[in-house]
Amino acid sequence: MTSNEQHLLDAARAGDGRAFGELVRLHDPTMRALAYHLLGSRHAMDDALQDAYLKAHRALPSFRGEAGFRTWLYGITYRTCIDHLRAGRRRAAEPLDLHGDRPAAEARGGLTSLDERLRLQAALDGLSPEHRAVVLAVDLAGFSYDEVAAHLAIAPGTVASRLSRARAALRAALQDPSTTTEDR
Amino acid sequence: MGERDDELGRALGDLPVPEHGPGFWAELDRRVQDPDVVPLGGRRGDAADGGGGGARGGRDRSPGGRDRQLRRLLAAAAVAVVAAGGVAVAVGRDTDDRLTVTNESTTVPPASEPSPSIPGSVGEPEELGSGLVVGALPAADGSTTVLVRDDLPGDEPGCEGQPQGGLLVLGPGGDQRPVEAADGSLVTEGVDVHPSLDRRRVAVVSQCEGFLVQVLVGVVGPDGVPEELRPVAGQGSDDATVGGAPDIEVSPQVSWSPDGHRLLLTAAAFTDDGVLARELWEHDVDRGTWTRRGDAPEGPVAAVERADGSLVSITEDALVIGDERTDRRGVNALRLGPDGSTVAAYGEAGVLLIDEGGDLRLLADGLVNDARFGPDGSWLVVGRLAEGGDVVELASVPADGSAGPTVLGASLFGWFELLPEGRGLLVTVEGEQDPDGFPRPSVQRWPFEG
Repeated sequence: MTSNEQHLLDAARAGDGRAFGELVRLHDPTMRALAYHLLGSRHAMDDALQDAYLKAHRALPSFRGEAGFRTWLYGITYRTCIDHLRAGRRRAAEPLDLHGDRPAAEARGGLTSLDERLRLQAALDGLSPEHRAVVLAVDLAGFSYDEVAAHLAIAPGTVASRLSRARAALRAALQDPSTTTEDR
Repeated sequence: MGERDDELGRALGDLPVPEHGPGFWAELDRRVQDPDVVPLGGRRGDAADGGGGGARGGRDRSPGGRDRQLRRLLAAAAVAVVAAGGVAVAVGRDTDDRLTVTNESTTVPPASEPSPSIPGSVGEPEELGSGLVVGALPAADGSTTVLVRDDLPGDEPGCEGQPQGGLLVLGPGGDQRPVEAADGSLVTEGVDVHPSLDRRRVAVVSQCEGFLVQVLVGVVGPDGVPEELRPVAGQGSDDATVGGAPDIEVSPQVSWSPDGHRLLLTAAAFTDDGVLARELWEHDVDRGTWTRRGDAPEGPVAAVERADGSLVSITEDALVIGDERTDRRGVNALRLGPDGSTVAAYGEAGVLLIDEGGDLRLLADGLVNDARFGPDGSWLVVGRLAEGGDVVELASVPADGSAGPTVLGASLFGWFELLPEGRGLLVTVEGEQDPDGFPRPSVQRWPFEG
């Protein structure tokens, strides 16, 4: 955690709502990726993140700092998305134009072709939310197994097995155009 | 195996993710100021997104390297899967080298008294020493030996370059003594302790980053310390079993048969294609043999055997009771009750009680990382992640579903043991900081009141 982030956190815990907003914005790209890939549409993503960020704001007094704000917020976001899925609040998927986003991907140093991205997106959509959450947390967001285990309330072995299964499906999609998606 | 896949991470990062809709931040700002103004999922406002800023100064509570320590603590805190039950009572000190839990305490009734009803509150916590509590085993004199996971003495490197951890006995004044296996080696890395229902035998599972190091099986010695620990799976097991152990890579979930003679284990290993294949195996401790359980469903994540020999299992997509598949999801661990027939299934969907007839009852919702039966099975203590918080609530709940959970307290690390006779808890909490300023896990005893 940077000193600026720590200052924002201290201010937010002292009741500064604007500081809370700025703090959340620092981590919003990670949370958007998780919510969008779990829920499948921008509207559902926004609904879930409104709920998640508000929950985080309400729970801020109980946040003791041991887990790191990003990790803590990720856990809240994941659970909120799962709640939305269970409540049937997932809306019809609204896939983005993978073609149109290519320049942005290239600007980030993206390496995948359009075909690869299409296959990867299909394979990701074919995973269960639980498997998606683990592979996104570890391989995209960079959390450790232990952080994922703690905040998804699953055993380390379960993290490893879910990650293995998810990676196998995603790697197959990247390597073999004929690969079909994994069963949910 | 525990590393991030950077190539896959980059590919996932190439997938587009939309920006928020118009007014997202303005709406969040309004709701933060007054949460009742905008209903959930309501129409987005059309105001321009609000900005941030306004940060005030504050103390820096984040010493360098805190994340590293945090990850180690979280590694231990991730999920506890340890058995309950036993025989003794309150905390005292023996004449040897151990801190014990005895029936001589002035604050805890003697063990001969009936088990208490469902606990509703706890008394003054007592500090016992550092470590993550992983076991509370009965000694022959009625005392209880406390087992913890902590760093081992010396400078040996351990899992993922961290200091080597292992299994230790927590002694008087917080002294720690490493537990030795039968060959004199130390029991190392991330350990979980699994006693049989009668607490005569014990299995110790050692893992690193979720991958198996070894499974050891032994007996509970007269002083409550695991003895004669021999590897039956993983490292060093080739010569200790008849016909060889199953191939296991991922740290397994284990459970004892109700009679304590067989250890059930979910064996998961990668095929040549990189696919993780799971099977249920059982180890006959008396004969030293391994047998694959052909009556298990395909791909078991967890399984327990009931007194009638039937299995309750969890797969990736179902809870299976005997031969019947249910559509229940969101549970990933099982705990066999003291009657050998009742089973608790728990995980992201809360705690489900499966009675002898196979009927299901939801006892508590939320993210549950552990569930322990009281000594007569009429109540449980569960650990669940508090809503929005970063602590694990410990709560009692009646097994008959007649009432909801009663919160007993909160633990940062979510690791706890139920004291034998169900008269209190051993709870892992944040202890004092070490010389580098990192918080260390510490064990407290919480006596039940009433």
